[in-house]
Amino acid sequence: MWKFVVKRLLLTIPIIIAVIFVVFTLLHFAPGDITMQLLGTKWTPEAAETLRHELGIDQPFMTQFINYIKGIVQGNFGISYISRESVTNMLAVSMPNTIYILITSVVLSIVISIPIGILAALKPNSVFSGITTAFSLIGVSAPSFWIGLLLILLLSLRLKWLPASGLESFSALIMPSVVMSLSHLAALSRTTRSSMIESLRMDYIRTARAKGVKKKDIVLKHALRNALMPTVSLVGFIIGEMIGGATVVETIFGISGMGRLLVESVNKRDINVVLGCVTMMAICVAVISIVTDVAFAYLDPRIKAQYVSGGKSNG
Amino acid sequence: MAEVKRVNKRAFLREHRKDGKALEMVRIFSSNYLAMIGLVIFLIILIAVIFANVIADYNSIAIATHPADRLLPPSAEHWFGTDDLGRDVFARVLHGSRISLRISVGAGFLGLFIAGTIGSVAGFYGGVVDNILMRVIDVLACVPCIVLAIAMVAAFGASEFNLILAIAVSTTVGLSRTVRTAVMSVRNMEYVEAARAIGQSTWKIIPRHILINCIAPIIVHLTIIIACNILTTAELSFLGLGISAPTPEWGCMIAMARTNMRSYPYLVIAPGVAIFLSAISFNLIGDGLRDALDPKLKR
Repeated sequence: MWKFVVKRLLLTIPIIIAVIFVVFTLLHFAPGDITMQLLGTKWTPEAAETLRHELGIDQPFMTQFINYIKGIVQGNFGISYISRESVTNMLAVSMPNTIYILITSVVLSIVISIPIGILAALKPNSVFSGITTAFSLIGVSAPSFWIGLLLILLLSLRLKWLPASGLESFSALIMPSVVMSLSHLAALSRTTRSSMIESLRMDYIRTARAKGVKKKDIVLKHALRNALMPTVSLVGFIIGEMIGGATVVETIFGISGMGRLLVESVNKRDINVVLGCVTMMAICVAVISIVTDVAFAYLDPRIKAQYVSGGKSNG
Repeated sequence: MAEVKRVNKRAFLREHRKDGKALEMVRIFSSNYLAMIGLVIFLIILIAVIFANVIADYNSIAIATHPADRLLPPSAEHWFGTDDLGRDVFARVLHGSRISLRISVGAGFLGLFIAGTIGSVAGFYGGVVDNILMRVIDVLACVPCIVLAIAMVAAFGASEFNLILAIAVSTTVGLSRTVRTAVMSVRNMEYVEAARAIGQSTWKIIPRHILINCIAPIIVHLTIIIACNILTTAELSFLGLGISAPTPEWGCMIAMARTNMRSYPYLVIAPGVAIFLSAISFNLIGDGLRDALDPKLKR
């Protein structure tokens, strides 16, 4: 099993480097002179040259790129061009906040949508199917930042039930998580529903029913485990999209996480911080996809068997 | 004699004409009431797009400020009230439809062009070409859609064309995978082999024989992508990375109205409803098309 994890990790490294290369190139060749923006009225050719040297942007493109990669391997994302603060520190401060919201949002969407999906599969044409359809339409079409603002308007400003911003208490987590998961509930419950319907039609379900297994056990033990496969891979994808959604959610709810850091640094044109944020997000997505694959192998013995030391022993 | 025969054949065809596939699709589509709701909303938006200048002039009503009319509540004169600079919100929402549709439909088609090229080449040739192109897509897939768009806006700056380009590129990941799968499902059909046997070049075979036969999933995906693009456009403008003031873009209007949200909630509600309705119309049409064009794709 570990062999599999290590192999996946090694395969991910070139992809991450490629992501960094793409974003690095994109931002490196962006129009506009960074020194003009930083020095403002004090701009002279000499001052610009000193500044370039100081920031390390006077070197050739490939040297800069290789230095950047070297830095990342050592956990050094460079410094912010504007505040001269270490980007690693900025990320270290903001990442935990993003992860808090991510965890609560993922848990919330799983807790809501999987039971709805199962119930909709057990009783097609019932009220649950209607709920999933309505949910999917609203969730997919409503802009999350707008829903977030309406929730703030109603629950914080009018009713004063929940805090409008920050992350000081658990109650402050509720609205961001709801907004973050809203657009993904639909897809998740729909996928669970359709794979559940499929797996309930299988022969082993009929066998289980024939030998007199309780209906609850059939659904939860026999059908669900097989039906979960597509759901698990979707959860992996959704977490990735949620990391992107954090940009909006954190901006609305005033949470100082990675997403807000990205938006603010783009607005300030703080290139190094933008690069650091995107890199970190890509690393997160890659790690999540590894975790998904491992979960897949755990759920499906057929996949596991492919990776367990070539059939010699079942170590 | 020959004359008589031909007339008879025509009459025969007229009498025994079967409903074609297109008519069948229209029938399925129009019997789907959700899809029809989507179509009606879409037509209303289309009317708004076409007649925006007739209903309310862009320069004198949607852009010009009227300090005397600041923050008026909704009334017969100003249907959605006025904003903090005295501009009529209804007129601005109306003109917002032009910008929003221009960007999201433009990005949809540009994305389709990029993804169509990548996906069909990868799916048609297979092997090494497929492997290389799909690894490139894997790399892009590592960055969440909106973050990719933000990074591109950060690099090129926020103009309307850059926004279209950024959104288009951010949608290529899903779209090119759809095209690739669709192309792979038809590339080994006999008619493709026949086309090759009569000596057609690959660049004619791909659009004429392959893409045309896997158009159903592509159209469905495109409609849903456009719905998604509407949301992304608004999101980027809301974050201050897209279209900026004073252009009446919906996301930008919401961002402006945020500070006065507590006392003037209608300023936030009106553009939001507009975004919601346009996104839902494309989603409903997409779902309807999926059922009509390809019953196999039905959930």
